[in-house]
Amino acid sequence: MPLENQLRGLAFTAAPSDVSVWSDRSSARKSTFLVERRVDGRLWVIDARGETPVELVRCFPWSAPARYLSLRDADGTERAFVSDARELDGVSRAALEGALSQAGFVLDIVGVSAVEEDFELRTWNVETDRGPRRFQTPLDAWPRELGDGVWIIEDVCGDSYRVRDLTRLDAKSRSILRGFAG
Amino acid sequence: MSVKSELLDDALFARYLGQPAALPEAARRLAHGALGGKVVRYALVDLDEKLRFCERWLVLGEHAVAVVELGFVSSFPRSAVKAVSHDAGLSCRVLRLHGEPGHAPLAELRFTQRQRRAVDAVAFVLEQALEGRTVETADAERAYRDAVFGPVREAQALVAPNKLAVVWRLLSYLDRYRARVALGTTAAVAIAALSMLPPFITGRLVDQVIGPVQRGAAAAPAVVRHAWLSVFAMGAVYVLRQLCLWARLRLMAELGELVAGDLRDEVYAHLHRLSMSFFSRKKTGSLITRVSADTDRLWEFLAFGVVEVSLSLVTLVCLGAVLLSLDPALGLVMTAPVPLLCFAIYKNGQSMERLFVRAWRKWSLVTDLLSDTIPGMRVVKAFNQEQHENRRFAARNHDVVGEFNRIHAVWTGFWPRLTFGIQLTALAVWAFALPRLLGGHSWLGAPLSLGTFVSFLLYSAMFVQPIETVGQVARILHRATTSAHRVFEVLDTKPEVVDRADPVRPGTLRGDVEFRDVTFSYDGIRQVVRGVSFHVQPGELIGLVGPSGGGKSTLANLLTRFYDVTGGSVRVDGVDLRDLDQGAYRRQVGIVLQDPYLFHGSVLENIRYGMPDATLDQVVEAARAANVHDFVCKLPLGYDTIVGERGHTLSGGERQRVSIARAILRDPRILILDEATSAVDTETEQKIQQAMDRLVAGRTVFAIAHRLSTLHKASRVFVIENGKLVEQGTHAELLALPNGTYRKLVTLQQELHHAA
Repeated sequence: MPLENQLRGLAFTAAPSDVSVWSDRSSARKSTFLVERRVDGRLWVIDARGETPVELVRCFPWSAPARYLSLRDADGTERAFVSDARELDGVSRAALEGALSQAGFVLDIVGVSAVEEDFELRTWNVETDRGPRRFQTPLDAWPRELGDGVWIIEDVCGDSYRVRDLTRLDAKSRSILRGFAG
Repeated sequence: MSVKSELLDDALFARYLGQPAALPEAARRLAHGALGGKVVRYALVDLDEKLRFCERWLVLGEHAVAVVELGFVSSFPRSAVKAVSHDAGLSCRVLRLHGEPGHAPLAELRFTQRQRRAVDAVAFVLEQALEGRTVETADAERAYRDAVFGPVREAQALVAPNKLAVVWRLLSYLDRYRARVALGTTAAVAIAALSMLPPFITGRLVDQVIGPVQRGAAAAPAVVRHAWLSVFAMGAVYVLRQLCLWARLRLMAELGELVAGDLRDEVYAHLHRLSMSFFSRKKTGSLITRVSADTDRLWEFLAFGVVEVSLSLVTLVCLGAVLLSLDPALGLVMTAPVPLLCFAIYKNGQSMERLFVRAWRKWSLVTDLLSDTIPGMRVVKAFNQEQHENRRFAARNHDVVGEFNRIHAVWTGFWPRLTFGIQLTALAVWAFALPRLLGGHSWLGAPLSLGTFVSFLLYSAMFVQPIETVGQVARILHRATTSAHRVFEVLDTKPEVVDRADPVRPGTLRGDVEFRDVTFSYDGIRQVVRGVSFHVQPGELIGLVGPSGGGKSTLANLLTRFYDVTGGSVRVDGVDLRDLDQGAYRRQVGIVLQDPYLFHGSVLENIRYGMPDATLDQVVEAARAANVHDFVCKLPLGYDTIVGERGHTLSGGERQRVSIARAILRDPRILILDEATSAVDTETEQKIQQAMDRLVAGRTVFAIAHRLSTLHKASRVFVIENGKLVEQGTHAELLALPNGTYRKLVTLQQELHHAA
């Protein structure tokens, strides 16, 4: 099915490290439900109660991006909870991986050309893995450190920008970022 | 929309977001063709299937939906959309427009959070249509711009054209004190001019008196008078200069204070004119700083910055002119490096700025920790985390020390180098002057008199201070404009709820309240009140119940006119609220809040807050009715006891009753009660209840009710759910509804009660 291929391609291209970090817990419990990506583009949970379209909620988007997944229906009621995708069968797991890469998508900063201060706002001109981007943060908001050189900048619109490794940026970017990260 | 503001919008979009400020013409033409009519709403879709950036447009027409990209357009009728689904992600959201179940979606669109509000606005129209409702969709252009630019505008309400404009505006506040400014400036210029005299006089003294006398060329007695005159003249100049200095300092310091005071008054008064929506957008702390710290900084700028900077510039120019005219060659040696030195200070300031940002950030981590743990000390102790907190603090503190020491390393290194630079200039003056002083004619110029040279040395010492100031102009201006901007931002915010030109001033209200098909949305997209209609007779007690977030408080906000309705109307005694004079109306509306706010002041002042001229008899009467009197008599200073944030602590129940007394005293015709949800002991509960009963008698009351007892007494109960009035009737009537929401709520509460 073309859609499936498309999704598989998607899972592969976008931030592969997010989906490959499954836990090392070995107790593969048999789950009582299945997860499917259907032709309508949505995730569906199939269990004893029936079939429900659900939305994927990651409980720890930064601490454990690929684990502790809550699948919730249109009313926000939890229909299934996945603490470790290895509990699931192959099809369900593949469906979740596709959804995860999309849910975890952030723009990765590969270079910083300028940071300008304006009234109340700081404007960042950056090069991301998807192309150039300009965004704003409030003057009193700082990038958030996730450890291991990873820094997250959240802009006023709610988009997240990630510096994967501060030490690997070019010298000019690092010098611009010195005030804000590290 | 005028051409000018469109241009401004385009510029802002380019400056802040780097995305089109409107649907591009080519895409618009394509969409028009596909939609067969006008564009109702549109949004940019900026991610493709592989989550790469793209420029796709989701365009909503009156009867169809189109997706346009790079000259391609696909479209489908709006009636084909049977369901809408969303996926949320960190920076990627998905909107799906579904056709028949079990088929591929009609459209699956991925976009960053930046486009969310615009895309949601499109989705909202479709979702509402699915529920059989239509949404007001005038001005697609405005909607798109507001949706995309909204977050930036919220962070920065006033988009200033440039810093210079802000400075001019700030200086316009000096207009009122023109005489003072003129005097102060004159004094400042006088200081600069007078400062030029002593070195000049000294030079003349050396050349015309000391030199000739020592060489024996002139008889001492003949020139002694001349010498003493010169000394006296210098004394007079010094006295005059100090007088001017005093006048300038005093005039400008007071002037700064007056202007800062004006600004504070203006900002504070303006804050009270602003609508509640403004205060829900802005943090209290930031508003407090604007009235206090920012105006203080402006005082600094107006009192010293402006004069200091202009004076330094004048001094530099005067010095340059005097030196060049005294001796052009030597003057050039002395003045040429000045711009260079100013520039060095400016550059140093810039690199310090970068270090400061870093240090401030680290410093804010320390203060965050303090403001976090000190109020939370009980929790820290209870969980035995003192060691952990100490370690956390020590680490951050260590960081800060490191950062500030780095800054110290930079500036301590810079100033000696700068001073040395100035001294080098002095050395150069010596180097150029010596041959001429000693050996008569040389290629450097004519012989130089000792007096001229002494004057030169004295003048050169005067360069240091103005150079420092001019080098810091950028920083001084930056600080002042930032503060000024924050103040002007408040001043330029327009209240959203305004009286019409000739409002109706109501007499005593009867308290007849009618909601006619009221809709309301805080953000212009999500409606939180949807088509609510009811009519309440004077004197009725209405219980408002329903899940939290259902819209009860919003109804109260609309009734007090903290916000204006988006659709429909609220009428009191048959008059639309928007036609009533806000002040006259609110005087007759009382509110008792869930967590009543007491101001810092005595119990008396707090009870009298809404009616400052109430007599003490009236106060005691109201206090008795509210069951306040007895506990107040036990306080150390009775009604004169200071309560509020830094005063005597009252319990929650006591504060509640003081606020009831406040409302009783004011005797409102319409009363809004927000009952406390928190549990209080039975006796307190009973006392509050008694107070409430006395308060509600004879008024139209809306009680956001959590207690069953209130609901029993209510003439009618309104069940508000999801922004709609889903059930209404007496307690008994609603209980009789077999599958009613109210019935469920009451059963639940009773079960809880029994369990407890």
